[in-house]
Amino acid sequence: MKNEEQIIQEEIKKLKKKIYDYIQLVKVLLSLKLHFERKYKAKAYVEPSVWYKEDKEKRIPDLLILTSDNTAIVFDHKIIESSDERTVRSRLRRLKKYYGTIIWKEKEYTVNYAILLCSKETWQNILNAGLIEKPMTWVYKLVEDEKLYYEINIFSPKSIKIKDSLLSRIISTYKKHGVIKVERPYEATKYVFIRQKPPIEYVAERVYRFLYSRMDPNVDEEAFQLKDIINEFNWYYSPWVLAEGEAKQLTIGRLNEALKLLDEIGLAKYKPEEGVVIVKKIKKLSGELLDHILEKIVKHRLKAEAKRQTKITNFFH
Amino acid sequence: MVSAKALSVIRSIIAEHKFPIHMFVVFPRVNVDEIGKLENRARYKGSYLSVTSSGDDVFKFFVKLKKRQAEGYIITYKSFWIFLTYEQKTDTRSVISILLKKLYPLIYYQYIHVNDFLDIIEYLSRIYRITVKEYLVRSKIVQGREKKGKKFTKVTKSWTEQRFSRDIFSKIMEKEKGIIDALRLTISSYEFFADLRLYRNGSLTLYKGEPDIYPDIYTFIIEPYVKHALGSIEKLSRVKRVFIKDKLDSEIHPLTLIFEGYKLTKDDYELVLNSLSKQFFISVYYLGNPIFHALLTDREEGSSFEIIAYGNKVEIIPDFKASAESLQIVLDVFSSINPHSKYVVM
Repeated sequence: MKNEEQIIQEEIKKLKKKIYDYIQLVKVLLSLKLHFERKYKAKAYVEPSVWYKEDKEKRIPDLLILTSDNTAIVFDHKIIESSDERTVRSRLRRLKKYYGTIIWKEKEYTVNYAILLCSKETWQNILNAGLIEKPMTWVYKLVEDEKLYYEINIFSPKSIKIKDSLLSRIISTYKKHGVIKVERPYEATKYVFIRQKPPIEYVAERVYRFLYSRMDPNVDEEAFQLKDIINEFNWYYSPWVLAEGEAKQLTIGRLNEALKLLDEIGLAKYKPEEGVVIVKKIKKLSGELLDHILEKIVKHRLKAEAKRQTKITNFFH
Repeated sequence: MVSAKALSVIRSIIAEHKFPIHMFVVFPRVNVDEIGKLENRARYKGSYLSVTSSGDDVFKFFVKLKKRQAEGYIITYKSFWIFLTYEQKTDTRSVISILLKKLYPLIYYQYIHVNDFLDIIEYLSRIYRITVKEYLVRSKIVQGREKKGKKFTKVTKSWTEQRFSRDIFSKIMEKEKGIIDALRLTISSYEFFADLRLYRNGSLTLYKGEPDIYPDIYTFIIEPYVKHALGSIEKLSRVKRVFIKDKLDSEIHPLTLIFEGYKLTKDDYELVLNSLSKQFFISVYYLGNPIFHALLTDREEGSSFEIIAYGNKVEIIPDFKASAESLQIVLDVFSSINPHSKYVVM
C-alpha cells in the first residue's frame, strides 16, 4: 500500500513529465518552422487554422509548410505511450484527415503528405505495435554538439512516391547523410504556449512567475488587472501567425483557469467579477518553485477528492 | 569626487585607529535624495536602519539586526556609494554584509571577474611592494571525494608570505580548481604602509594604515574596481528581451557562457541550483543528458532568466525583466565551476 507522500511524489512526477513533453513540443515545432523558413525559404506555420475545400471543415495541423505555389505538407505531432496495436492504429489513422485541398490566405494548396512527427520513445511504441503499414514519420531526438539540435530520422514507406520537390530534396539529403539536423535556436524561448492546451499547472507556474516579477520588492501582495496581464504577457511572448490575425499565447481562458488554480492553492486571491487578482508572495521556499506549486496542487486535489468521497459515503449511509 | 567633509570623515576614522575599518563599495538604484528608501527596505526585511544626513554626500547610519548592531557612514559618490564602518562589539563586517543583502535591489554589490581583480593588484604592485599574507579561494567540491550533504563549494583560507605575482595566483587557481575571492596584502613603500584585505565584490578591510591613506586606496583600488564593475554592468545590460510594437514581436539578446576545454557535468548543474536557490526561485524543467534546462526568477527584484546548458556552453536567455545586477549573480556562480569561462552577448 502506498502512503500519501508516495502518492504525492508520483503525481508530481507525472505532472512534470506532462509539462516537459509540452515544452519539448513547443520547441520542436518552432525549430522545424525556423528550419524550413531559413534553409528552404518556405512559409511555415505552427498550428494554423486551415479550411479543407472538400468538406469545408476547419482543421489545425501542428505544422503547415507551403512547399510551392500550390502544394503543402503537414506535420502532426503525437505522443503514444502504449504499444497496443489497436491504440496505435487508431492514433495513426487520424493523420488521414489532413490530406486534401486546403485554402490558406485565399489560395488553394494540395496536401499530399501528412507526416507523423514523434519522439524516439513514441516511434519505438509504434514499431512494437507491429503494424504493417506505417505513415511517413519524422523521429526526433535532442542532441548536443557545437549547438543544440534535433537529429531527425525519416521513415518513408516504400509505397510512397515523393512528388513534392522540397520533400524530395530533404529525403535525398537524408539518404546521403543518414540523418537530418535541425538546430534548436534560442528564439525557441519566445514561445511558451501553443494553441494546443498546455498543462494548466504549467500555465499557473508561468503566470505566477510573471506576476511575481512585477511585484514591488517591499510588499507581500499586490493587485493586478487581468487585461494588463494579458497585454503584457503577450507583448513579450509573440503571438502565432494564423491565416487571419494572430493567436495569443496567453488567452483569457487560460489565464482565468490558472488564476483559479493559484487561488485554490493560496498563492493568489482571484476576483474574476472585478477583473483583478491579488498575488501573494512566497516568503520561504527551500526547494524548487515548480515542485512547490505542483505539490500544493496535488495536495489540494487529493483533499478535494477525499472530501468528495466522504460526501458520497455519507449519502449512502 | 566627494566633498571635503566626506574626506575628513574617512580620515578621522582612520586617524583614530578604529581598526579594522571596513569599506563596502555598492551601486545604488536610487538617487541620493531617496536614500530614506533604504530604511523602508530594511524594515520590510525585518531589520532596523536609520540614515541621517551629515552633509551633501555623507550620511550616518545605524543598523540593528536581531541581536547585533553597527553604525557607520555612507559616502555617496555619483555612480557608487561606500558603506564605511569600523569594528565594533560584534562581527561588524558580517552585520554590514547582511544589511547590504537585505537592501538589495535598492543597492547591490558587484563581483568583478577574477582577471580584472588580479589586474588591479598587478598595477598596484608596479608602484608599491605588495606582499600577500592570505588568500581565499572558492572552489567546487568534487563528488565522491569530499562532498558531504548539500555542500557544493568550499572557501579555503591559506596563509602565505610572498611577493605578489600574477603567475603564482594563476597557478594556485589552476591547482585548486577555483577562483580567488579575496587577498590580504601589505602594501609598502619608503613612506607608506598598509595592511588590508581586498574582496572581489568591492569590499575592503583595512587592518593598518596611515591617516592619509584613503586617496591612494581610492586611486589604485576603488576607482579601477568601479571602472571594471560598471563596464561589466554596461555589458550585461545588453542582455535583454525587447518588445517591438510595430512587428508584434520580441527581440532576444542572450548571453552565452563558454567553458574552454571543460565539459559541464550533472554535479555542476546541482552546484548551480544549490548556490542560486537562496536568491532565485528555480524551476528545473530538465536535468540530465544532454541538457540542463531551468528557469530562474530573482526573489528580491524579479529578474528572470532561462538557462539552457549543455556540453561546454551555458545559454542565459533573458525573460521580460532581466537586470545586469541579477545576471551578474548567476554568472558568478557559474564562474565558480570553472574560472576559465568567457561570455558573449548576442
